[in-house]
Amino acid sequence: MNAGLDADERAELTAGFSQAMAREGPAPSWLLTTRQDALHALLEQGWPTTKQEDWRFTDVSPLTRRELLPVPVAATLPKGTFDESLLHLGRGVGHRLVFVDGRQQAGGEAGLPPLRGLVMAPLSTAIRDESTQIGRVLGRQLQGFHAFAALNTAFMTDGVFVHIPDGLVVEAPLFLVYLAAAEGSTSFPRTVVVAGANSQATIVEVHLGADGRATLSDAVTEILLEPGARLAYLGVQKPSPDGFHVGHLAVTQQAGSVFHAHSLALDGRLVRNDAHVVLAAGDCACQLDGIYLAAGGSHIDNQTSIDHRAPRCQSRESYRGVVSDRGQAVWSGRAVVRPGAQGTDARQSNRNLILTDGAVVHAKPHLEIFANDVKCSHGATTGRLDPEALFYLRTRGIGAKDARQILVAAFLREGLGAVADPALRGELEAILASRTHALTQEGATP
Amino acid sequence: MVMLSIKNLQAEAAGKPGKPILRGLNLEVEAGEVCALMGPNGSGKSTLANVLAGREGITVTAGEILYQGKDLQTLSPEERAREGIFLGFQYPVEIPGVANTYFLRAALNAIRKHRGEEELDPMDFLALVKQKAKSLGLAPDLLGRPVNEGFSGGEKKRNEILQMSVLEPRLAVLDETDSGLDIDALREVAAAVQALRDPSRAIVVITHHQRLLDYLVPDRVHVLAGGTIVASGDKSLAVELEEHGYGWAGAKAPLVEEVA
Ligand SMILES: Nc1ncnc2c1ncn2[C@@H]1O[C@H](COP(=O)(O)OP(=O)(O)O)[C@@H](O)[C@H]1O
Ligand SMILES: [Mg+2]
Repeated sequence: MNAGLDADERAELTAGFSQAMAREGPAPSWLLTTRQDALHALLEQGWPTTKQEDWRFTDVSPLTRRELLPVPVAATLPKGTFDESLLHLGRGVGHRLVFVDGRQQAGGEAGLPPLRGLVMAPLSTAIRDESTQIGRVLGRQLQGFHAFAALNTAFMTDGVFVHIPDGLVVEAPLFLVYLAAAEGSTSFPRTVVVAGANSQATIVEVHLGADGRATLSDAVTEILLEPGARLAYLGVQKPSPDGFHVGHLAVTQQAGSVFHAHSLALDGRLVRNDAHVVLAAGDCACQLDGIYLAAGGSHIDNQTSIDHRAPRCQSRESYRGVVSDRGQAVWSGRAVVRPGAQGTDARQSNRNLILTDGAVVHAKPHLEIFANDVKCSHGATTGRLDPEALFYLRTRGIGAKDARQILVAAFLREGLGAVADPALRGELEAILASRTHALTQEGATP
Repeated sequence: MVMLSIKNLQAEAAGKPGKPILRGLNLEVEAGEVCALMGPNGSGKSTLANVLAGREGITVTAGEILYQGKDLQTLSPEERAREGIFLGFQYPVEIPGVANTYFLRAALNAIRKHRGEEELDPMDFLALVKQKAKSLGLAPDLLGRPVNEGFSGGEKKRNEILQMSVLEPRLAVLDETDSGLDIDALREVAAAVQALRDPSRAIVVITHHQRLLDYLVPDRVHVLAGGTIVASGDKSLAVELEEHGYGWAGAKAPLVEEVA
């Protein structure tokens, strides 16, 4: 299991840690302890290797060979270097915080008028404010998780703390935008969300890498849903084709809460997403959906797990992706039903569309069931565009490339089925349509 | 004017070379004509229809197909459609996630663009489709649903005719559009096809049943057996077939050598 860090690597990380702490300035002692524990865990376990089951198809050496410590950069936003539609997602619609290379953008946009009791604050502020009680959530859900989550915890510079007070219904989505801008930049965005009892909200977390830049963002998002909370969460990851994104979503659901996550991963030399949901108390509902588009030389790895620890919970997982050129996609869906989690209803599915020879998909659904009164199902499929459907469209006058575009767009659009917010859904449909257009109209054999 | 002229057409499945399905087929269809193509199962009717539409996987090994005097074989399926060829599928294809109206508008606009015409205004288009669907007895909600997905057999066939009515082809080949239809549906479909009967258009209906031809009286009837046309005549030929069966026509077939 242990790749082991050599003496040089250990020394470099340890020295880097001291420097980072000095730069951070005074911080509460619990936070320093949390960071130190994470650093030690990282030094102990080293980087994951392809000998580990959940890293079998993802080689992290291109990542670990590069600069891994936070690179301080000027927080200015280069013009015209980000995917415009994603950059402006939700602009003018909801509260919005923007970060560049891990630091809050100077003079960030003013959001909508503040909502009574809603906290949406930079993490750097929240950790120094005892009234936020952020320490009861930050770092609490990551035990035993992988090296990059530990790296984020040790080195995180900033991020967002969201607290939706009990009973508050937040209509407009909350947007957290993390931009990786400078060439070679490494950033550690950290997001902590507490959804109070019976509250309702939608959170959109966007990670974008500047075009043509080999950036790395190593992100961790921790979410706690208190009893009866309803939270929709959309995570978008789009590094440049040379960039890297490693993301970790850790969610705990308390009784009767409802969580719906949707992931959208586009491009990137390497994108690795881990999503882990713990259904800690009874009568919860959890839905994990995702869309990925791995074209060019992109490698996108989604690892998910849903841990049924309590009775009568329902979980649904549905991921689908389009893979083309030398693209690679990895999907692993794990559902665990613990003893006592009677009445569990768990379903998962994964569908892949391969557009060209050379594209590769590794899909692995798995169920681990230790209770007897359960309903569980899973399935994974990988296929090509239906030649009959293509022919049918063409016999009606629709050109071959347009026919492909129509079928790919339809496949992806169906994957957005559960995004409830209509405005958000419309924006995502448009983004997927333009990506589909690029994939099917340029290059790619007919 | 000759709409379609097929001479000595030979074709085989791409995966099964040396086993011809069409074996020297000759057929001529005039503009303005409705002709019925009949023949036993497996005689090659759908294969002929698919060759005309340009399906991959069927190889033409010999012969010539002229459509309005032009060689058809150099054209892609979409080019043929834009030039006015329409195939009504024996088994219409389900396309999940693509709304029926969206699909039909994309098709119509592709054809109009080819003709140098402007795209139809979306509202005008919708009005047109709704009116055509109504006259075909097609429920309005089927227009917004994904193409053919979950449609009954009859709904799928009516949907084919709806597409034909909107796209207004010059040469329509309807492959067993009547099978699976109840008597009311048959009458509506026949009326819709009849409405498209026009001196500048040719319609080939592939059918097993005299019933359709009671409503849609053909100008010519051809019998296909063993990959060739074995008999041609007027509408009385269809009546004779109904009485005597295909064995009667098949007996007149020229002997063909079986290729092992
Ligand atoms: N793609 C194909 N591959 C192999 N055989 C085929 C293919 N298409 C048609 N055939 C064969 O060709 C013959 C004619 O089929 P078809 O044209 O469908 O007949 P019909 O429509 O007259 O019932 C049948 O024996 C059928 O099995
Ligand atoms: Mg047939």
